[in-house]
Amino acid sequence: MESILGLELAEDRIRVLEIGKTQNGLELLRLDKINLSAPGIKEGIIAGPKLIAERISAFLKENNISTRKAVALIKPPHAFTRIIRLPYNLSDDQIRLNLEAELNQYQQFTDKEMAIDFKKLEEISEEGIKKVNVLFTATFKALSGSYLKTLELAGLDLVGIDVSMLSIMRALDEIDLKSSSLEVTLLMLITQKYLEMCILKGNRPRFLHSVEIDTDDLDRDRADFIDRLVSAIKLMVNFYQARFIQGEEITRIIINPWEARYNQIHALLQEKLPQIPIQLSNPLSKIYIDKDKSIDLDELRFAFSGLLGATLRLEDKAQPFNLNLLTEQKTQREYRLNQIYLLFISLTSILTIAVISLSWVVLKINILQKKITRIDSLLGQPSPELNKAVSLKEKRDILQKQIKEASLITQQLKNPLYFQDISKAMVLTPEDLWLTDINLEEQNKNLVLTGESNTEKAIFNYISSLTGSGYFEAVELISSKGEAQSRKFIIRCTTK
Amino acid sequence: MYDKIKILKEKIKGAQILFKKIPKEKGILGIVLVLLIGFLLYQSFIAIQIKKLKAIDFQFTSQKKLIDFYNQIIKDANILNNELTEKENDFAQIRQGFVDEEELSNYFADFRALVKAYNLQVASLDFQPQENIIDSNREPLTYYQRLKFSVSLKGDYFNLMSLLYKLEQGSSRFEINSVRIKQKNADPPDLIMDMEAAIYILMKRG
Repeated sequence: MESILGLELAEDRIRVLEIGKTQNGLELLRLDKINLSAPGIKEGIIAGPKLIAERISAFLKENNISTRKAVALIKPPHAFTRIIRLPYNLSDDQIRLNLEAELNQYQQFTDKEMAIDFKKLEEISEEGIKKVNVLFTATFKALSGSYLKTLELAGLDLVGIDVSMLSIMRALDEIDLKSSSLEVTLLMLITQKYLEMCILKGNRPRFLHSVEIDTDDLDRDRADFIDRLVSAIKLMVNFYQARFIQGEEITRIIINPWEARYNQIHALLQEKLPQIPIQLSNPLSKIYIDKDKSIDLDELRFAFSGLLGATLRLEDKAQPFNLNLLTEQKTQREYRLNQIYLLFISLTSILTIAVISLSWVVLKINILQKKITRIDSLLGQPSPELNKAVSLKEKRDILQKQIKEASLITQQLKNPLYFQDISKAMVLTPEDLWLTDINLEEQNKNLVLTGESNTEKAIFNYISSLTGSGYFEAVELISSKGEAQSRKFIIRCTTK
Repeated sequence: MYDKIKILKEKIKGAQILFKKIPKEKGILGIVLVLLIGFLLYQSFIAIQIKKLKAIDFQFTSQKKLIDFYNQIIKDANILNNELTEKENDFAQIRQGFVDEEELSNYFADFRALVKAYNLQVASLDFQPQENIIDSNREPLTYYQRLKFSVSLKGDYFNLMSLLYKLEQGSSRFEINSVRIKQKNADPPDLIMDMEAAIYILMKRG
């Protein structure tokens, strides 16, 4: 079953209201108060979030409340709600700047960080210029932040922070305030210190105003208090009718006192303002109430009416006064979470890719290692055929290399045929000439013939024979000396 | 199905808005951070494993090639056998020109016997250290070495020339680098032949 908790925090107590979607429709599940022994709230801001959170947690546990969804309600002076008229074509950021400027005019909000939410209402043409009414509400960021933190500590998911006037509107929507109606209503919310007033056409807010009051004055000097209320009402009505929207008349006044003990205030006011019907608000028909639950209906009707309106967010209905002071912070928070989520997703993706890649590589390594092991075992015990074939190949290769190297030697080897050269030189030796030294060197390809002869003629004849034989490339006489009978000579023949 | 597409479209739109909302500096910082973490992860874990994988893959490919090669060898065993026979026949002729490393002493014993057979005397026989034969790539040949030696022989002209002829025309490669024949005595004619030569040795390897 879907349900939601409404919480209204004050210095001395917390009001709790729970509604849920049951077979009876929206049903009131709980109406209670948590008393706070020590003050944990200062000027609307939760100063001791742990303490308050513990109290709320204990309450949830004691009452077996399983829902985690919660909505908080705040009221003036910690919340500010108005309708202002702005040029039609402003962007959201520009509207926000205008609203901040508007808030800065009030002393309590000057230079404070504010949580703002706004909604464009109807378009209006003012002196030929297109404008738009903007409903906005604001509170201190410190306040909304402290609520968010506290309820998070209490294990609750704070889905919204509502303001009293807008909550009452939700509570009375389609009961006292009908969307189809064109009736102009003045809705008055009387709290202990503030009188909040809103003029609505049907269920659409047109003008909002608040006045500081003290309801204790009602007990002290009732007549004076009523007179002051009447003055405030008249001022508001006149201002609206004369200055704001001309020609529209307020046809009724609905009063929502914050305490059940002021439930006769409408009668007192009616005496002073007989021309406008005045009635008390009655949001009770909005939800189903189990009679067996002994619920104080007056409490629900007045003191808890704001909370009831706040919890009616459960309806999830589009309404012109649906503002949420948590939107900005929630959006920022969501935005931060989204960034973290994005980073986390990116890192997870990278890690996943890394793990998959690593697994793939490791798997492949293992598969290859297994294959290598198998091949190793095969190679370790080669078959006889392989041994024989390898041996054949090795032998062939060796022979091939030996043949190749031998052919290289053969190419390099020169066969000078010494015998031929020498024998040729010897054969041509004439009778009267003899050789004493024959020297043949491969290095300079020279055959050097040293000998003796009885005549010079024989030497020259010999040279002539050697040259004419064609066996040598060149024949030259190096030296020839000695006496006529015994001449020594040296002839050099260049071999071919 | 249509609803799912609609939801998906809205989610994509939401994500786009989210991306647009992120300030540029934050976005860049986020991207850098994510990339940095990705890089560090890659460097710390994946890069090492990829290197290992590459090494193993190389090993595997090599082994696979070896296996393929062996299979091919087994398949070509008959061809190899024929080739071997052919090469053996070729080499049988070639090796006659070379002296086996272990046959060197026999070779020179034969040489001395040959000299003697030609009525010549060995005056001296000096060896130089065996040397490597360098190929065109300036690498030493594996199976062959050169042995240079100088020999001095005494005898008559006819026998010296006959021996020279025999050596040059012999089956072994006998490289003569220089020959010097000089007369020792005029009567009876007695010659000395100094010769620098080299033979090629077939080395025993493996």
